[in-house]
Amino acid sequence: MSAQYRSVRSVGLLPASGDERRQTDAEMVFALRRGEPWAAEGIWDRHSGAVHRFLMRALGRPSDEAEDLTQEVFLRVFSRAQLIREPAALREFVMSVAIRVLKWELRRRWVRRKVHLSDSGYLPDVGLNEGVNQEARQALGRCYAILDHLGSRERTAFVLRYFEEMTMDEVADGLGTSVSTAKRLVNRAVATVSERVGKDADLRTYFVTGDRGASLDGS
Amino acid sequence: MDRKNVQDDGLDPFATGVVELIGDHADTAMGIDVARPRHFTPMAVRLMRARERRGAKRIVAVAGFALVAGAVGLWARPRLGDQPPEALTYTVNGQPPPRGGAIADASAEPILSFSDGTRVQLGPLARGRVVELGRHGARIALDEGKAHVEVIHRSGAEWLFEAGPFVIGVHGTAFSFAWNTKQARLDVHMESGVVSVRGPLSGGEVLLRAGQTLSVSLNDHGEPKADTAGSGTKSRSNPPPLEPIPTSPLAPSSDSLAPLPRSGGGSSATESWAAKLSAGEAAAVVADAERRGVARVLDSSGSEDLAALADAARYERKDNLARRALLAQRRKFPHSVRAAEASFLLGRLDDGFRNGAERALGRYDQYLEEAPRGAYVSEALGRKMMDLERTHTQTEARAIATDYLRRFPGGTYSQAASALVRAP
Repeated sequence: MSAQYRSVRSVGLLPASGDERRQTDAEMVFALRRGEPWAAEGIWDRHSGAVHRFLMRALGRPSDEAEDLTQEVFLRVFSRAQLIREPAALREFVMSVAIRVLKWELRRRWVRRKVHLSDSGYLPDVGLNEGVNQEARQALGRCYAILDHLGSRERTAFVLRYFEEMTMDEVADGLGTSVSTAKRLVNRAVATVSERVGKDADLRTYFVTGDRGASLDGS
Repeated sequence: MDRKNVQDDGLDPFATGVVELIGDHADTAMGIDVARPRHFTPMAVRLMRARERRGAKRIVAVAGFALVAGAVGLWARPRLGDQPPEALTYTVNGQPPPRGGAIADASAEPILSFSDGTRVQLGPLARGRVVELGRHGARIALDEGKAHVEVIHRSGAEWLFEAGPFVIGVHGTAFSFAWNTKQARLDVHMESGVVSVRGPLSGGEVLLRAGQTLSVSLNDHGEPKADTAGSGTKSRSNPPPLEPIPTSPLAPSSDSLAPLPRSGGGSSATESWAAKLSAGEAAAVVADAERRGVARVLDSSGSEDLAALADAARYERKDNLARRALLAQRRKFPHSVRAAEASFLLGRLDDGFRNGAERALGRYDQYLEEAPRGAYVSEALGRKMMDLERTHTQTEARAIATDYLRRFPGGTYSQAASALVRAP
């Protein structure tokens, strides 16, 4: 077999996207239930990236912590394969588990914060790298500190609505609550965020001067 | 990053700033490659197995308690007002329903009130039937006109609404739908919740959410159209709220326009095979077909049931049964969207055989000809490219690769296509 054939064969085909996704997701779920070894890896390959990014944006924590939580999400997914009601809706199931893990983590951090406050009133924040464009990175750290003041449900609602671009129905489904409660949580989160930014002179200045467009490496 | 919700909700500049800063820069600020986390680790697998073992012990420990609790539950059930074991009942405008279940009232808009709180109101001059009643829902056919539906959300609720060849699956929602026999047109407008619509649609199923509208016309002369106007949901990790109905040269056969026959599947009268499959019960669908006699089932089943049986058989690795169901689909409902898709799926089955590439190529060509803008075009083209490469037809493979990259630059097979095009 010539090298050109080998080179084509060695290209890893990505999982299907778009229209094929739902059907292939269903196939993987059924294969997972049968205990076929490739299924868990296939599900991980397809969905772990989205879960990882969701958790990182929501928590503002470095990759290791988000990665551990991503592992936790898929532990739960794989151990509950028989409970996936709609195999074709695997993505929704995985995200619903990710949302529950997020809420669990936020509550855990809230408890930690109440028990072990640092001198500044914030948990030691190891989430950010020092380095170029310090101003933007500090602004980002302050934004996450503001989010830390939200209740776990408010923060989850805020993340789902504005980072995951979900409809209110989807936010309500994710939180396991009614649409009206979801709206209330989102509105409360927005009000708290706005109020705290308003009281943070440095952050307010950062937003007002419009430096947000600059990339974080200063280019 | 799309900021539609920020704009729709009218966020003030401070909240907007927070969203934009985190949304745009969080990944970069953490200074790490967020493309992909580590592999699912063996430690995690061991942990999972340990949890399973602990769970097994826990199950034994609570079994005794469950027996007691179950006995208490049986005693307490009438007092707690639990879901009744018998089928739902209903009234029409507060009166007992007519015999046979047919509903038509030219002078009024009859309201069907079900015992679980679900309400269905027919529009003026509409005609419908209550086809079946079950414990968890009912199957209702709209023969003509419009209906407004409010299904009470309950765990395990299963409501099916037929409109011509379409079936709308509902679990707890409010929506209106209309069927025009003359125009062969379905309109669905969502108020709340989620429904799935199956029928002669490319892709097999469409999910609709609150605020969205689906309009489908099977008229040969018109362009099928789908109106996605609504609350403007952005497609995210959920399945796309609506797949635009492609213009297809397929002329839907009279079979595909006929109302779906009574379901061939399910031990419960209201549980169609499609519903069972959606709930993950592929093995049950296959078992049902085998119990009733595959030949008889293939002969008597409608298009939707054949499609569900074919899918279930594929998931259960019963390739021979899948092949028979797909061939029956093509034979009984020629020129329909499902018949074209059956070609694609037959090609995938052929691909799984050692020397099946040649046969698969024929199937993919058949699909591409019958549904040039179907849901599986990207996949069919990509698989055709790979099969041509496998059978050493390099020139043709490269030609397909070039076409693929032009049409689907970010598609599943784009990497393989690029490699083929670059190869000397």
